[in-house]
Amino acid sequence: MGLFSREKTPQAPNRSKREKCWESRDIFFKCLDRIDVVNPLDKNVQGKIKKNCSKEDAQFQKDCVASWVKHFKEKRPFDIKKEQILREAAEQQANAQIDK
Amino acid sequence: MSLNELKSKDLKSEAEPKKRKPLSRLPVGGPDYSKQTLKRNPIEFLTWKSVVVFVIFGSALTYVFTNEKEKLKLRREAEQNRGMGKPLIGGPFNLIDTEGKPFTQENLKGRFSIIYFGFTNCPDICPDELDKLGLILDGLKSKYNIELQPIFITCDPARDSPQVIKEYLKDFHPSIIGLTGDYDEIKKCCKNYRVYFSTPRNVKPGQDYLVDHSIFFYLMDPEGEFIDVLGRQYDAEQAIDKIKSNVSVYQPRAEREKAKAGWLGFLYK
Repeated sequence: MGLFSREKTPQAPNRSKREKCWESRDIFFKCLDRIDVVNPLDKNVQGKIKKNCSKEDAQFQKDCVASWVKHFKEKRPFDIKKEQILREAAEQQANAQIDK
Repeated sequence: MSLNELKSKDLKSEAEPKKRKPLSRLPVGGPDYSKQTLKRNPIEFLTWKSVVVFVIFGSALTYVFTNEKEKLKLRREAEQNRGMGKPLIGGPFNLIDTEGKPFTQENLKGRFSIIYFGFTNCPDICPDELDKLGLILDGLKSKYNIELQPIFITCDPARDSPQVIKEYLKDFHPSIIGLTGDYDEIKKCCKNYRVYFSTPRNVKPGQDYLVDHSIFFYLMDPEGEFIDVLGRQYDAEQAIDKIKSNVSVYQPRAEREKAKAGWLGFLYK
């Protein structure tokens, strides 16, 4: 595991490293948005990701430690779901106000 | 047309306007109202001056009472949070700061503290919350001149040595004190503060893992007792207001007990 060899010196990521990681994550997730992938850990979409976003994925894995990559990938479907629910709630509220 | 007829016609036209209501309905020859004084009239008290005085006193009293009511409510809440006898949240702990010096609950005494539990390898929430803590600290200082003692306690003692925490906290507000300790001390401390965390006990150095933990700010009073908890839903401004109101109504334990025993004690029940 090449990733862990870098982790030999136990140093937590600092602000700039964190920001770099978040940036790469956002780029990768934007790519996933383009190919309509919600859950990047879904076995059925691995081929699709490899085909369209492999470069972004590699950069994401390079800039973030493995546990973060896993965390963010697991979190993505929940965040999308949450966003959707909030958006629907806001729309409903707006419609209710129009009905009034 | 005879003369009589003409006369009666004239009379009619003269009499007609008299049927209208007179402009003044005061009976002629009645009492002369213009000479009466209003001395015995109760309306006398409603001069504009008295209205002004009434409004000022009224709003002043309303303000004082609502203010006191709010204070009582906050105090009662704080008292409930403190609990009877053994505190519900908080209690003794024995940790070390980033210089390796011991830091215990005694170090909480003398000023208000705000405690946050996290870990340095935290991917997204802890850094955001610590940035928010910086805003809260600066806001309280500049707006209300309130200075808190901010404390960061790690839930991940295996990886977070004093050196690692020191390095990590450089990114955040300079006054934050970072604490760590051995696994059992951290576990005990987290338990006392009702912090859930999932750090495995035996991890190899350099191992890559995340710690699941609950995320709250704990506001502690200058006697080291718990006052309130602030969750993620508060943004910096709301947190500043909440902390400010809690700090401004704070009474030391002795004073609280005296108030409880006094004749107004029922208010605190």
